[in-house]
Amino acid sequence: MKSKRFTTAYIAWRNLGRNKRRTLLALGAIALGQLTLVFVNCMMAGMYEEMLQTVTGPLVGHVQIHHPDWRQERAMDLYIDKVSKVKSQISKLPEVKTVLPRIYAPVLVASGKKTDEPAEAESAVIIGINVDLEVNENGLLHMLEADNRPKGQSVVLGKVLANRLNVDVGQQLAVIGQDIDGFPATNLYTIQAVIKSGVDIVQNRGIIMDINEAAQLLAMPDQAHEIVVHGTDYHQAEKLAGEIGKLKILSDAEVLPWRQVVPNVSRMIDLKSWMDLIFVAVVFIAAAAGIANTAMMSTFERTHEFGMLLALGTSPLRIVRMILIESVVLGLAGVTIGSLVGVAVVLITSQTGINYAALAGANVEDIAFAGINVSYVIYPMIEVRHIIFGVLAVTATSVLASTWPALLAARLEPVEAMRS
Amino acid sequence: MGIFTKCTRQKLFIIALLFTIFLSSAESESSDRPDPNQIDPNDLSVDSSFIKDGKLDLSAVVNHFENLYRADSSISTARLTVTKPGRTKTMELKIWTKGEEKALIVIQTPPREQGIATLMVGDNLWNYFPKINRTIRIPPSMMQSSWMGTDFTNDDLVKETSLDEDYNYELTGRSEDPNGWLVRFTAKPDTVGLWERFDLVLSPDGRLPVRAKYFDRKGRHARTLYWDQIKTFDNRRIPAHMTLIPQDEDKKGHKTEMTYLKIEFNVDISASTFSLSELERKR
Amino acid sequence: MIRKVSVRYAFRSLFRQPRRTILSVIGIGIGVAMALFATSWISGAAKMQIRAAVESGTGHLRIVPRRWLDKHENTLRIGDWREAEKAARALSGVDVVTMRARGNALLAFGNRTAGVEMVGVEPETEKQLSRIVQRAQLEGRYLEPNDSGKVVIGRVLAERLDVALDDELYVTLSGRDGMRSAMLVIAGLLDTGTTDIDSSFCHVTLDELNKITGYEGPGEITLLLKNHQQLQDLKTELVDKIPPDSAVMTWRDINPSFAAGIESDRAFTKILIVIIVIVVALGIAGAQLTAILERRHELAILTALGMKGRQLISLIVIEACIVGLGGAVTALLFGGAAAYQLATKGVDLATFMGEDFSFGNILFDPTVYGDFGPWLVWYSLVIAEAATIVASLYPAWLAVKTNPADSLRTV
Repeated sequence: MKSKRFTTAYIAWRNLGRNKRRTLLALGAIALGQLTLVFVNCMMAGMYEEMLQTVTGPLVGHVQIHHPDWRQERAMDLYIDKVSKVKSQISKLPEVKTVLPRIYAPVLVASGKKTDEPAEAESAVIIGINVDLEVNENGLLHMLEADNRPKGQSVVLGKVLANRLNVDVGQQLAVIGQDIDGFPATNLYTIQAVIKSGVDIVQNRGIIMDINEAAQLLAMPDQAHEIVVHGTDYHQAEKLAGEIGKLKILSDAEVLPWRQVVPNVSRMIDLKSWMDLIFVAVVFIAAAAGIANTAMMSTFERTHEFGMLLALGTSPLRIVRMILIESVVLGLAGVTIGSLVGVAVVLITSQTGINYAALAGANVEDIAFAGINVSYVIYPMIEVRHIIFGVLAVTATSVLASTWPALLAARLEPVEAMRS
Repeated sequence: MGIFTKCTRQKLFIIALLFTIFLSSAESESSDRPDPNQIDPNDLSVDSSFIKDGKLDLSAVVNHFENLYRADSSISTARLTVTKPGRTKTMELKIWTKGEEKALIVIQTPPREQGIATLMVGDNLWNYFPKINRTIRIPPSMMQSSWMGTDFTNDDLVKETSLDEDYNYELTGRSEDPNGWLVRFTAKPDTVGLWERFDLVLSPDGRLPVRAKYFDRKGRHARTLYWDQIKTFDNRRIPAHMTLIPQDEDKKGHKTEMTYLKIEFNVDISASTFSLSELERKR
Repeated sequence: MIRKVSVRYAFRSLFRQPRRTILSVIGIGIGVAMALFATSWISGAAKMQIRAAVESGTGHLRIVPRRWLDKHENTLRIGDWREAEKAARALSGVDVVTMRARGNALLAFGNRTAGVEMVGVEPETEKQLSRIVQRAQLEGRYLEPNDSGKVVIGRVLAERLDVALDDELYVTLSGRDGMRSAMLVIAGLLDTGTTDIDSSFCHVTLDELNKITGYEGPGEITLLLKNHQQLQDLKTELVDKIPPDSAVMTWRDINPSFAAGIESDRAFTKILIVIIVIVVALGIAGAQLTAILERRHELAILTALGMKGRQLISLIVIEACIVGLGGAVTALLFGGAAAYQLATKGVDLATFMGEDFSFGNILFDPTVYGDFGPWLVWYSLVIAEAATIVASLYPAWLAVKTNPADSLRTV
């Protein structure tokens, strides 16, 4: 004869099998709850990562290096020296992927057209960048076609600046500034392209040129105002900053992880995370309500059955244990199914992406938000802790929701129970 | 946007310096002048031209100071040196002025900047760059940007001031180091300017400035101007060398100097000198 | 006759099993309440962002000279500005109208200078419109309507110039004909705690700015609406009334990058709302299915007693309607109350985030106020009823199809 414990379990198991619809329904509710939790959490996680990835794209990077006073003063003589040496030393660090130096210089510009009347000068900023790297997806020049890229003596202008100067593509631009020693630095350039950019400084004052060209004009060989470093993992930005900061050649420089470079963006992202968290909590309660409702409903409906068992001499405790085992099995089975399906959905959508703008019928325009490109596609990401949380929470919900009515039912007089 | 915030300019250096070069005869108005302190007319060190009715005629002294470098027209050569910690930049300039309204500055050395010219007519300012053979007009909004990469601004070049109109002045006593007379200029209540006051030390004979200390609107000592290397240019005995030193903590080691090499006063300069086409021709 | 039976039976069966009924109603109630809360939360969060932009000085609508759209030249002034102002004030649904002009100025003190965009404002309406002025700490005071020779600057700007309250700044501006200078006394130092704003804030009265520069009238007229839903309609109305050389911009035009960010958020949150509605609906469905399946015994007896299929279905559907209604009401009670709390008190995320923070020139107040309105009612009714009724259809059909004998055989 089987021992008492296993008998209960055996009966529980048979119960589940005997009433297939009820079992399937319960399984369905639990699986769905888990599926939803897994999917929503993974979707949020994907979005969060997407935001981080966008922010730490070529514009901000993972780590930035400057002369300690440059960000405050923006003076041209506050540069980082020996850039090629710095670059090679940083590149030696294992976690580093790319190192991008940049030059920023305030200048005066005017139309280069030779006319009777002298042209009016406007103030502008030369932005010397590594063109090949910055034409990537999230870069300053991401929207530029290949043959419009600045190189050598051709430059790209921001739209508002071009308007104010009354110049257009193909025309000449006179640039007047001073080089690092204070000597006048002047040159005539050809306008390769005019761009609309969401980055204010680019749009209103920007002259984008190849960094080597800028270095030559400004007598800043091997110097830069800003070095943007990309590592292999933007989560490790703080650690990377620490590693880079240890380099002797940079002992006087300011080395900052991206969160300190753009603290406002960082807080914006945090704000969104908190808002998402609250939403997930709400989803969980809704799902839990559904599961609990289903579980309670089905357990209450079985009062008659419990009555019979009580009448046959089963102790109330055993009934409760039976229900407990049933709900645990259901719960685990349900979360397993839910997890598997959820993971499958996440895996598929993580490849295809979810274009929520298209789904929501929004007006999708290529605009950058403070220099950060707005992306309309989410790639959900698997995060095991979400799955585990779901497993625990959902199972717990189902178990509690079944056990409580069982406790109530078990306390009844058999006759009453059978009567309902 | 922060990119143009540069904390320091010695903008008003020009008011003390270049206005004395570019502006010619200032109208000396006889407006209300404060009575100077009585000094002993027997103090023989003071130049006799400054004694009137046995009393020191301070307004004459101030007038003389203001007009040290002024003339109906002038042609001069000067050397401008800007010193910063670790870096020194020197330019040689040739300067033409006519009346109060017109001036032309052409850079002679260094070779990199040779031929770069600035033309000023009234409120307007143009720059010519031989390397690209273009003339650009500096619009009013650009007036605050630096002139030729120095600490002067374009605005400094065109600004005019009159000491009589803007300041009350009085003789406050003798100065020991440097030796001379101390005259205090206090800005009048509705004067628009950076300085609450400046203290000028004049040579014992009252004819030459030696040092001026400028105090900002909160009474803090902001900068000092020195004059030395007395020379005679075209029958005028004036300091050839001026030095401006800011007193700010974070400006340690900064200095701007102007040295006149040659000045001719009241020469004939044709009006066509101050024209744009001339600007482009000058090399 | 038929229907009456079903209805009566429906009521009686519901009340005969109070526990089951209450459980259903509460279950539906909680689920739908969650949907209500989530929707309220999400809409509120979206509105928070728009409010932040609009109330940081951008306003909902702005009248500008037409030429400004191309060149962003802030010396431009609105032609015939009195007419434009009248049109703005005459517009319905407007909360605040304020006029401004801007100029690039160089502030100087001693050896230090700082370039800023000086804004000439109407102090009273500016204060009403801009939360930056409302919420900032002020050493000294803000501008007053008849102020002359006074300026209010940001704290960081003051630090750059090394000046304090009551110091006199030497100010140079590009005026109508050449450069103009003036002395301005610092009447107040503004501190929002955010560097972006505190390093660029420089306000004088509109009259003062025009006095110095020699221009006349405002360069922009900014409107804050009472209800931002009316934006498009009011814009169209305004466009008709203003002089032809002026144009009307919306906050989106003024701050397109921020608007794009909000648009992106909005699309995302629509998805979120769909998800939560699905979750709630499926939850309700599950519970309903269970409830009805458990009653197969009872339903089988009815069939055996002669109840027709149609009657049975209508019985179940009616029960579902009633329960759904009960659930909707419950949801409104709990969810509505929660939404109301959210709408009036809001959730202050600043406790998690730290202080207010600024993004660009937008001052964020990280308090989310929920959305509250009559939409709650039809929203909860639709979800509750739809879910409940649709969920009942399958088991109803099943009940009709089954052989009563089979159902009665099992426990």
